[in-house]
Amino acid sequence: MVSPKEDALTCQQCHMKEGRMKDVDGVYIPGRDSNVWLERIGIFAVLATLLGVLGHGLIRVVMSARRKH
Amino acid sequence: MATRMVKVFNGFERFWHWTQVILVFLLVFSGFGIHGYHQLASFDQMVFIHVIAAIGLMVLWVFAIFWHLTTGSWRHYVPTTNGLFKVIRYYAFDIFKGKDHPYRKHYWRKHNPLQALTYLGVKLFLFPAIWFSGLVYLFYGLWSQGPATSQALEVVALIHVAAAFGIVVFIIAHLYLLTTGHSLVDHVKPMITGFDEVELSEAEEAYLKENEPGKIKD
Repeated sequence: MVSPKEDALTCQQCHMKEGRMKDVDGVYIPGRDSNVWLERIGIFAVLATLLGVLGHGLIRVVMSARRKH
Repeated sequence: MATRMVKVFNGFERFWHWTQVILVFLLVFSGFGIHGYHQLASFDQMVFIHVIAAIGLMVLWVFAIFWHLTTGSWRHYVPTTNGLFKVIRYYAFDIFKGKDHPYRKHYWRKHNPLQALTYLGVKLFLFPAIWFSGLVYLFYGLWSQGPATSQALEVVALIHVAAAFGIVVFIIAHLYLLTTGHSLVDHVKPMITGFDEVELSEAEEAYLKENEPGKIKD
């Protein structure tokens, strides 16, 4: 039997954390699964770069203002 | 040695650069959306954007690789330690003292040593890692054996995500470096007009004037 169209699923009902497939083990589902350490390292690298360039820029601004005095 | 306004980025390079900007932006946006970082579009819309932009970028890169090889432009990216230390010292110390950038562009060296090394790393490792993992990911249907290949898919996805974070880091640093030097315009303008200040030897200047009219702006 084919389900009626109002029961049709959208992609993200499964492709999300806490979706319909949340308890199904043994398959990698994009949007549901990730490696916690890879995410931590990735986010850390992005934030460290952001803070790094902001800090670098700030020192440039401060030093340049000092030179003008 | 004389400093002249020389066409360092030809039409193809500028087209490549700005098309790549748009496609990479679309890929980062849709990719991190698919990965669950935002829901600004539905999953299927983001997959669609991601696949179309990825195919576009890879086609562009087929042309870019061909161009690098046939025009000899790959020579700009050969690693060199000549002047590398000066550039590192500039960004680490001298920039804060208001000193000038130690590097002057040469006709066959349009990037400073640190920049050339970074671009080489991006071209040889980061981009191939994301394309190769992306293609294997995209064609999962061709090699999938159901749950038996789930572990392999996970490895492919992890490589893809790791490379994506690396590309975001590159973009942040790339954009920040636009703010160094004399002005933002100085950095962006050559990628729009194609012309930038280059130190030419007398022989290079004479050769370009004689053989490649239009390369030097008077």
